[in-house]
Amino acid sequence: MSVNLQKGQKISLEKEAGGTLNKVIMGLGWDAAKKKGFFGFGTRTEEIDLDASCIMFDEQGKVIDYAWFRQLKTKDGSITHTGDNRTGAGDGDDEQIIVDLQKVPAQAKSLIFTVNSFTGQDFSQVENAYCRIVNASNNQEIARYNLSVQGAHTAQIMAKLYRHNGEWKMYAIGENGKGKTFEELMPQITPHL
Amino acid sequence: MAISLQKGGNVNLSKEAPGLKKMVIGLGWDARSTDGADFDLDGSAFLLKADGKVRSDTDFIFYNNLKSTCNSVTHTGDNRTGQGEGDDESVIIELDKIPADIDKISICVTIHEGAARNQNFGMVSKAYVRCVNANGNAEVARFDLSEDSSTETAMIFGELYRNSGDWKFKAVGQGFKGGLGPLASSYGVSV
Repeated sequence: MSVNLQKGQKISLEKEAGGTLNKVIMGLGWDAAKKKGFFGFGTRTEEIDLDASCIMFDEQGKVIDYAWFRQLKTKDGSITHTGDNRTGAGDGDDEQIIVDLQKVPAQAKSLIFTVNSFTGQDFSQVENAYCRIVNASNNQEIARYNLSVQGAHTAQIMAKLYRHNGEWKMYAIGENGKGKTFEELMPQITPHL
Repeated sequence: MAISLQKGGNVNLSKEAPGLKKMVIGLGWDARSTDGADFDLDGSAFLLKADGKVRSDTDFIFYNNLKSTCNSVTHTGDNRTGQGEGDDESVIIELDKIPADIDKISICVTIHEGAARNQNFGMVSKAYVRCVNANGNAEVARFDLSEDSSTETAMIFGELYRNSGDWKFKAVGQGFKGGLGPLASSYGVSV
């Protein structure tokens, strides 16, 4: 039974999953908005290259490591990005980031998940964006956050996985941002840490 | 030692803070650093009879009515942004001055225009509400609004109530739909 998150919501992952979690998959998906063709005949879908990234921060807000299309695996092997989807084609998750909660280092406090428009189109052309967290051991979806993202911004700070009082929680952030890559997005990320 | 309050938890104030005469309820949060309307959190207190209702509208202590008629409850004023360190709003309660016909005091926190601004406690950074023993400033209990009331815009933090000559504090931590107006109505205030 997946819970549909609203913006600002914070949930305990293990409570929602109903048990201990070892590995979770953060799935991110979106559709390129359909555009009308010439004289209103037909429709075509413009290709949008959105990139999902995961940045690991410590308690002080310092970056420990990250997983993204330029580095698919963190050095400690705890976070793996399954690869760049350059068009958004296909149903379901367009990009996935697998987090091995057992391997995440003790000093890591938060994992921030972002989506950036690498080719520069803004989110007015993006529909049905969502992020969802799946229990990798049984493929059950734990929670989903549907984002109404349409607008002139070029990045989205989607969600945060973080440790609180000894348990892993998820915070549905859903804030708009600007930047081709997460590096440009950093100053906008820090208020949410 | 401050107790981190969970819903339904009780704190026997006379036990945790013996000789407690003056209690301060402190409400704090960080000012908004992302784009959008300010987070304007409001603390309020309702002086209630045994039937759970106010005696009159003057028993509703909030930013537009800062002092109770018996002088037992005082609100230190409206903070509209969360600017400033420490508690941003406080409600001071002098236990000895609480009139005999008041059985309990309900302490609430609401987000001003929360529904209209599409805000909830989860979006507010480091929002908390706490009880402090005014003598010595020891924190008796604290509730993390940002973490544990994330989807709410209004909530009943707790109730101070009489029990066999002692004052006890019960952590309620219950969300309330609709905001301060409906909350006040539910306690018998004419809004």
